[in-house]
Amino acid sequence: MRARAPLANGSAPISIVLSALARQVPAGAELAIVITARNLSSAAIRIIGVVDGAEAGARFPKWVPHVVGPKGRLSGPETPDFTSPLRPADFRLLEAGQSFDPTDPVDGASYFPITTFAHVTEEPGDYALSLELSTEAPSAAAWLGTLPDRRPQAQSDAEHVTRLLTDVPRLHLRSNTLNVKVI
Amino acid sequence: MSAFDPTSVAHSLPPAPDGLWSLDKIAQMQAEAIEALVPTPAQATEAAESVRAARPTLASMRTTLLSGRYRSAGDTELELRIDLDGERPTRRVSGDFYRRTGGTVNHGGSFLVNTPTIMVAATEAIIEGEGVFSFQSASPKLRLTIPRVSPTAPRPSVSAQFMTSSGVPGATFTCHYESPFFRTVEFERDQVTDITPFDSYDTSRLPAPGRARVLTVAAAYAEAGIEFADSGGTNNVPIDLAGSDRIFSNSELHDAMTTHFSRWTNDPAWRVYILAATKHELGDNLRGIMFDSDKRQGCAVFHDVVGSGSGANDTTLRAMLRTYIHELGHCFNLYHSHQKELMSPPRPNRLDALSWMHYPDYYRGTGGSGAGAYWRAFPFQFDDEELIHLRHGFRNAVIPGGQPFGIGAADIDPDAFAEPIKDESGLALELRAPAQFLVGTPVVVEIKLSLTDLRGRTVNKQLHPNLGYVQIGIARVGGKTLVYRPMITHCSEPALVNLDRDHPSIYDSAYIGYGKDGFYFGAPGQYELRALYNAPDGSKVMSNILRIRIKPPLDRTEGDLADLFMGDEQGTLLYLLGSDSNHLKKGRDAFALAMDKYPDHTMTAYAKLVEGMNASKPFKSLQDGKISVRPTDFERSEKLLSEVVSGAMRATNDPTTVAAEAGTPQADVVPRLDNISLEMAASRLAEVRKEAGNASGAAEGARIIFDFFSAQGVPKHVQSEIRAQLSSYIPVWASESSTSPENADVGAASKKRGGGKKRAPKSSRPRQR
Repeated sequence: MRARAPLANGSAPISIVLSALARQVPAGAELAIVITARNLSSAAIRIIGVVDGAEAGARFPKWVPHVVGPKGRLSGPETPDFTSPLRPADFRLLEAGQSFDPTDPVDGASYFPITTFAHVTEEPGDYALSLELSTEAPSAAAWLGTLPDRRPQAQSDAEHVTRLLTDVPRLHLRSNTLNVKVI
Repeated sequence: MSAFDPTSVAHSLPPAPDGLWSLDKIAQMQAEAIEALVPTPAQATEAAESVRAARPTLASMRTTLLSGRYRSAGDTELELRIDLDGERPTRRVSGDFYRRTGGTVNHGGSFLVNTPTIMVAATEAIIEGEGVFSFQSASPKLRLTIPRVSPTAPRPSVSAQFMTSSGVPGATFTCHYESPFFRTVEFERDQVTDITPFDSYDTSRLPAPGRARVLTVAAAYAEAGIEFADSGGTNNVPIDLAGSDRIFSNSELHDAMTTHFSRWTNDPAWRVYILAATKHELGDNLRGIMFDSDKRQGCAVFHDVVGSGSGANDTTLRAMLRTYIHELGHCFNLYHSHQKELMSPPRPNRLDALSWMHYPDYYRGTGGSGAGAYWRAFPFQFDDEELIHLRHGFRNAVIPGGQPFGIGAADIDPDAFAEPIKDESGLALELRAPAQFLVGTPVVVEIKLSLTDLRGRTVNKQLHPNLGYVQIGIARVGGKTLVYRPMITHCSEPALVNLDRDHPSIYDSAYIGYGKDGFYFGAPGQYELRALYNAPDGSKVMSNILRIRIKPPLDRTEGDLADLFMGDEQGTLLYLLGSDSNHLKKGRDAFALAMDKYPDHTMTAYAKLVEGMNASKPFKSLQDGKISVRPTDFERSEKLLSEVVSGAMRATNDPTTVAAEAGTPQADVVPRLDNISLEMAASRLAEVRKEAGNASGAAEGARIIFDFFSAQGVPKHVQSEIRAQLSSYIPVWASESSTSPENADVGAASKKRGGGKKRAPKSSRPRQR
């Protein structure tokens, strides 16, 4: 199935906003990017943050960064050979108007940073950053990860995850574009 | 096995001042740690006193290193791994037991002593501690006594004394030095034809902590204490294996391994395979993968992604080195550092791990996070817990082909059905069955024991698992593993026969669908079966792994039949080959309904067999304190057994049945009656006819079934056996049999087994082939 083009912010029940504390940073310095995913709808929405493999587009949800710099588009991270199973703690329930940082591993979520953004300051130049979220998984298996889950609660967690996944809205959207200058 | 121990302090030792930790320095540090807990000598514990008393004068102690692998001789062999000094000691002792019985050597169990006490004196060192074992040990305490010798002297032998917790001596082993490595693994690296694989990386080429050195794959594992021995079988794998797009799938990688890995077997072994390949179907950024996560025997690195070994820059070479070591680490059952909590038993994730098993991007250390921080701090090694696993993990938790990925425990003793390390038994065991069964169909397997050493062997012909000399393990893929347990275990003395060139094999068949644990194949899915034969000389002969598929019903008839066969009472009736017991009435009613509704269905033949066999003999029952005897029902038995025999003979040449037995997906999924059961049914039919006074009918039936088997091309000596068994129904044959030298032995054997009018139970009637 051919993927649909991502919707822009404001056209979907969720928005993703990238912001930076400073738009101009020295080369080699740390670039602090804040990612905010907000529920724009009037009902609660269940969503999953950046679990392992999500940034590489190896599994759903896909949180795929686009960084275009002076030498073209930065390549994404290494695709993990095994991705973790989804666990109930990886789901966030966003009430209407509520937001969260999809890379912040609070409350037991196994979230990871968008590592591509960390490479921006390696070379001076102008960079355009954005982030795409896709939850349009063709099958349940595309969410679930490939690593065998050997924990005692694996079975009950898997059943719970299957139920929770039905609440996740299927969408494909793109954040704002954040422009950063590395000097 | 888990190395996690929240009661112990951190495992890490800083780098030794002069590169190597000595036993004396380790002992001194341990004694100081104990002393720090003891305010005065008067309050000192016995252990601390003994350590202090034995404390060495460091200046006087220049002795050879002890760490490495030691081995004892004898029928019970101890492989001992001492890890107490050297560059990166984990301060542990571990070992494996191997049992030599007859011509086979099997793994007997593993143990690990986590925190041994070290006492060193001028002439000897004593290492003592209580171990954890993979089996229930009555003597869990271990004391090693090691003579101290100069660095130039050969390594001394080690006395290993096992004791009960209270100090009562158990077994003692004298272990001789074997290797500085804790484990040795046969390693084969093949490459796709036009790929230049990784060779080595100099760690000084990019900023990194620690000692600069040139690392190959073998050198990196040598630092972990694991020797990689080249298999000598490096191959070029043709790129056409991956198809025109140069992209491999896991199944193609597995095929490349089974085809090109010179010493590949499907069993646990200290062998590992890596393929330098092009690209994987999972994407453009996948650098490597362990492609058989159930077996952990093989992995691949994708050079179209990670770069070519030819003319690569330093960053690429470093990435290649990490990918090779990382994927091979999976083969030794190591999870990623950020996924340790998903193992069994679960462990804390270690996002700050500076390990080959971590993803640099996911590193979160005190000095920074991400790939840059990782590489600036990475000393090119496994972390401490991974090192303990590699060196001292229980054998089946580490060995490729052992426990499934991520599992440190199993439903049954994984050693029970493990391939022997050596097999000089001179015998081969084979398990056979059709490839697929409709759920509910009685699963009958054929067990064949044959000679591989043509000098001959004396064997026990009791092959039926009900008799206790053969065990059959049943593993549902993705599910539990069980050992088939008969409802009734027969206590049977071994019945010895000679296998030789003329009679090179014996066989039997067994219904294993139902036993003490209920139905063993009650759910659709793939199953793996393996049998173990305990030979009279003590050898343990393993069979092939037999794979069968239990298929779900596809239509209403199949569903109805599955329901009619799947009750406990039906299972018991199939096991017993019939009974009049009132407790099994529901089962008989179900079989009667199956025969009534589906009289011509292949599956109904099993109900007819059970009822026909039961009707062919009297049945005694106790009613109101009196024994009542139901006489043989000749008419019913003859009718049912005739239908069974003629139906099975017809089905033998039916193409749909042949397809089903071969596993053709769309074929019928109810196999015909196996040959041994067919011969049993035919013999009983002849017996019934003879007892009913129909001697000519008995002779005719016996001749037909003999001709049937002869036409199937069974070997001559099997024909002789069948002929001998049927000879009591054909007077001409009986007289030939008693005078023919060719048949003399077989005929005698048949009579000993109860051939003739009173037939022995089928399970005690194996045939020589």
